[in-house]
Amino acid sequence: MTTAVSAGEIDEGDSLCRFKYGNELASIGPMPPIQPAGGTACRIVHNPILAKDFLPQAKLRELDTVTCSSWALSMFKNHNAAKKKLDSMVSRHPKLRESLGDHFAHAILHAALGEMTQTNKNRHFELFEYVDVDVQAAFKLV
Amino acid sequence: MDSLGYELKELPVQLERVRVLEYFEGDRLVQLKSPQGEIYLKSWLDEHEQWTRWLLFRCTSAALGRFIAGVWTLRDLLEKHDDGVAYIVDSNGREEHVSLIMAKDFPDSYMPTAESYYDADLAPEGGEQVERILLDGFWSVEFLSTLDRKYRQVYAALAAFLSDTVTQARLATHLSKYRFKGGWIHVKVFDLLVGALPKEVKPKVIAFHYASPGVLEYRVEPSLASRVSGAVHNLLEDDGTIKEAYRELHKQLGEFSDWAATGTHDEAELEREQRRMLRQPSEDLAEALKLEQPSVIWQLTNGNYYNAGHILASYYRRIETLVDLHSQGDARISSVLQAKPLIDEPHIPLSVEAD
Repeated sequence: MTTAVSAGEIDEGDSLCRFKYGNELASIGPMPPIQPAGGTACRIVHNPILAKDFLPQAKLRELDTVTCSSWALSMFKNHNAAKKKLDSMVSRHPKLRESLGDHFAHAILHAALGEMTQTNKNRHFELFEYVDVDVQAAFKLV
Repeated sequence: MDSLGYELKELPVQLERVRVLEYFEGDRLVQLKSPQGEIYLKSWLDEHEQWTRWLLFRCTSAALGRFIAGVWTLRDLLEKHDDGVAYIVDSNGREEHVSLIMAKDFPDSYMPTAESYYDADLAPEGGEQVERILLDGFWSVEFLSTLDRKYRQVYAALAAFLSDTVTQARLATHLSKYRFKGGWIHVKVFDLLVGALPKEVKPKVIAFHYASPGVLEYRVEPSLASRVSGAVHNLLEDDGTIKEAYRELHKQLGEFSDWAATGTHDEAELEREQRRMLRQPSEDLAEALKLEQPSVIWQLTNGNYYNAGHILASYYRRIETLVDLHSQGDARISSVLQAKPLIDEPHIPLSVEAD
């Protein structure tokens, strides 16, 4: 049983320090609705998995616009959803296969890892990692 | 990343960011505009360490509309755009290197595939604030006028059918006093619905590409525009249920009118009979149309199923017009082409008890 936390319900300044990038998130603005991590997860990665595969975009390079999503990790509930979205994106941006990777790592998430957004209709969600958590260790390349 | 094209000192045009069309772990496709209002698209190409490479190119509103609507691919946009040149922009967030590239020299390794259709699901949350209607065939000013009027009427009706306090308060003043008698009954009702829309959510024409094919663009409130496209999509996919419910309601409205015209009936008798004859067919059509809060229609018409039935039937006919124009290819609503069906909401019956 998870409890959804809505934007505005949390004290942004204090409580965001539980996240790995809490200071950065606090400076951006309201978080999307999130809940403790749980369930299956699939992330697009390289083979072998690279350290950058589990870094949020804002950590990798300077972005034109930084949002809360820029400090989260994109994930899908299952392999099919991840593959479908990767194929769609690569059709428009062929080099994304090199940039994001073209393999898939799977995990069963648990509440100690962080908090996740609601899964959307494409089975996609974002994970906001907690401080001192190694999310990559939970994932296995398939 | 290898250098490409002819190096420029800087971009020859100042561009302002309009919106992100695709986002996945960073911006992937961004719409920009020049001070003259020209549309530019910035498409992610590649990255290396801190550098990100973008392709920047100009496109017309009609071309963008076709891409967003899923008629053209990103590859089509590149191959069919008239300039014959584009810009490569390498950026690390602090510096930019710009070069000009001829379309014919664009590397195959960066070229989108023949399946590179727009993925609306990658648009950041908040929804599309522009609705495009793709025009085709031999259309006239009269045709445009009809299209614009019907679109606004369906949009306004869907706003009125939600329990939004601003619209409701305005409508309650006018509609509850409306007698549904005289000429042009339905036109007047829909004028009231359109008039009750708060100014800030009214659809506003922001661009019109006068050609065939052409594009009519509205600035819209995303939640209402998506309801319009959902309603059109719903009727397009109808297995006959909606049409049958409409025919039945239309028949019962006629029979009630005929009965009411014969002899003298007191108020109580009229009230009883309209409820007996029209409540069920009104509820059936509201359900078939997947209206989210049909009880609002009942409130707006003070429990008069004759009036509620007329509004529902007129609403159906207006969607039917949009569906006809869409399916004939004369005026295709771009968000309908992206096939977003109405989500089945919990149905609240159109009845006094539900209020």
